[in-house]
Amino acid sequence: MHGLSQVLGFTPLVPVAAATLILLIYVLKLRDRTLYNLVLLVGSSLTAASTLVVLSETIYGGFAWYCFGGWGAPLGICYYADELSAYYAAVTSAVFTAVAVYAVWYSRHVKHTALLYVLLLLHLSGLLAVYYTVDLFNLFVSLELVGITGYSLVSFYHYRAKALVAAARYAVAGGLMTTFLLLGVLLIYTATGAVNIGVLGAKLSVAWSPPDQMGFFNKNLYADTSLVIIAIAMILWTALFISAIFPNHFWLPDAHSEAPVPVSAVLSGLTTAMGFYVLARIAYTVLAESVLAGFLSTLLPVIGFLGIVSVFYGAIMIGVEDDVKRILAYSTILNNGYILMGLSQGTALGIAASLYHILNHAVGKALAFLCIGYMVRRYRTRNIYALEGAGRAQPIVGSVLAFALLHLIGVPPTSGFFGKFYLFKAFIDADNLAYALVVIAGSVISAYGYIRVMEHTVYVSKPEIVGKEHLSIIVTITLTTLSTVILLLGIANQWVIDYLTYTASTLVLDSTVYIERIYGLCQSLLSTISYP
Amino acid sequence: MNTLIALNIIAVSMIVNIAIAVYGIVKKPSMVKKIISLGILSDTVCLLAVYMGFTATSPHPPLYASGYGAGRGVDPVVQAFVLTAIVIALAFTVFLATITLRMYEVANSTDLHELLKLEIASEEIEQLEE
Repeated sequence: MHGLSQVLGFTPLVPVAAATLILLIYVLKLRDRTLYNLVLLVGSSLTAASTLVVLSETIYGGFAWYCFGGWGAPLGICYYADELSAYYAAVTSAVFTAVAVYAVWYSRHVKHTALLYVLLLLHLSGLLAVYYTVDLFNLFVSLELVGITGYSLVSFYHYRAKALVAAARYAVAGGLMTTFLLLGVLLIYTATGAVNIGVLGAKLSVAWSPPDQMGFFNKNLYADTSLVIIAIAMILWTALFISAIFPNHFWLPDAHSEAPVPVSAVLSGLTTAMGFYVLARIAYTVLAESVLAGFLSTLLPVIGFLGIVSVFYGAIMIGVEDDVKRILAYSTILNNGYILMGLSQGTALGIAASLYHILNHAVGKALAFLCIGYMVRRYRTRNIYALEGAGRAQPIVGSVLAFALLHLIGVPPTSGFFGKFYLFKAFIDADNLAYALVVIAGSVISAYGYIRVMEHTVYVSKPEIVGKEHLSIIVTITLTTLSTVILLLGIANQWVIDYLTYTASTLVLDSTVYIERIYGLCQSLLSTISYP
Repeated sequence: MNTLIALNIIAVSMIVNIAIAVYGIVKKPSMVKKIISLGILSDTVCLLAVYMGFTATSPHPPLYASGYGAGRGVDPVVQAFVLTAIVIALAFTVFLATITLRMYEVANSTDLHELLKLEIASEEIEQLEE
């Protein structure tokens, strides 16, 4: 059948298999660090390879699907990847692989290497499952997997009271929000009888109607649409919580700064991006061309406003904070604000620019965290004043850190400039001058904070701490690879934005494509069943 | 008629339960009380799910013998959801309990507000430990 992809079905299971293998090695007392490293690297690079295969299957108009047990909608769990899902999954697993290479070096200083690796791999698996699933309840289960592994990773240094408190605050708030997500999914099931995103879209859609009255794709609702609005509001609020958008940002600075460095890189670049996927899927696939389009058009300016508040909050806090890891954590809130502002435009270029910025932020933030992590490990402090001269003492790490910060500010040769440029262009095209000015103002305010970090760690020279740079070859490889990726993305920016604009215009802004494909999928699955 | 009254009482009590649980999670500083509130919240949502699947016209178990058509009996799908949600809630509660126990061992308190205040004083010492 067209588009059936075994690779898609296996992709989220590869990290689970690797994690199980590591646990097996741990339990069987073959506790050799080389074995753990081998399994982690093979597992994460296999995952990255298979997400790239899925991306190549979906490129320019294709799609991939895999239904577990051959059961389609409404109750069977299917994985389905169009360009949007495949893009998110490929970015996630590729950046994760780079961080995993770094984690091989980092874990030399960690007591329970195996447990760090197991939690990281399960976290990756949950993220991929969220991107690929079409079932809202399965999305909840995957989200809980992401959540519980995330909370555990934050509390990894379980002998530090601060890490425990950060994890507890994150976990309690996260548990509250995911329970509300479950409540939203249940309300949607009661109101419409659908848990499948495609079926839900079909039931609410005004642009698409089924060619025949096939059982569950009909337009019957069992309750008022206001119940659906409440349910969708709960789901979207949870999505904004995951992305740490302004009123829900309180957990992020503590959680991201107390986690081990590879975890911080994964949590801030990749996990927070997952909220935007859920938001885009619900807002544009389910709501945009439906009977609830009026709700969406009142919702989008509110979401955009929350993005603006996040931008200013993050930009100001970057300049105030003295702890380098907390500075990078606030930078996550800032960049997520930009991404949300782009998503809330509802134009193809706006969505494409925010997708581009997600990639830029994931790579740039991972790179900055990895450099900072090396310095923090070496000098045993996170205070910006105590780290003075650290970049001079270690020229490679220092220069790469400066490069990553320039990328985050958005200085021309780097890819970060083009991400912000396209965001600016999208706002100008949409006649939204205020948003365009916010991008510039946010960049200028945050540039002060970033340059402050650069000045203290890289520019200032302190002769007394200048010593030989004992840089591991693993760290050097990771840092140079990620820097090269940033440069290449900057060179290829036209190609990237064309591809993402195509994705946004055909898939995100045309919900009938998604519904039609899920419908066709269920039709062909039903035709293969023979009733006794 | 009695069934209807009972259903209404359950609905009202579920709404009150959710309100109490959210209050406990947001306002109470003690981790133990937060865990209890989270338990109340997730159990209430699970009960709500079963409640939604209930059909007053034919409140039979979802077992289809021959001769019974679809639409007879309560909705089995929500019950499958509840089974999954209970397992997840258990894992989550175990995690929170472990964190709270560690917190008590390390800082000798499970009060989040107290711990947040303590941290400011011990910040410099904490930084040296990493």
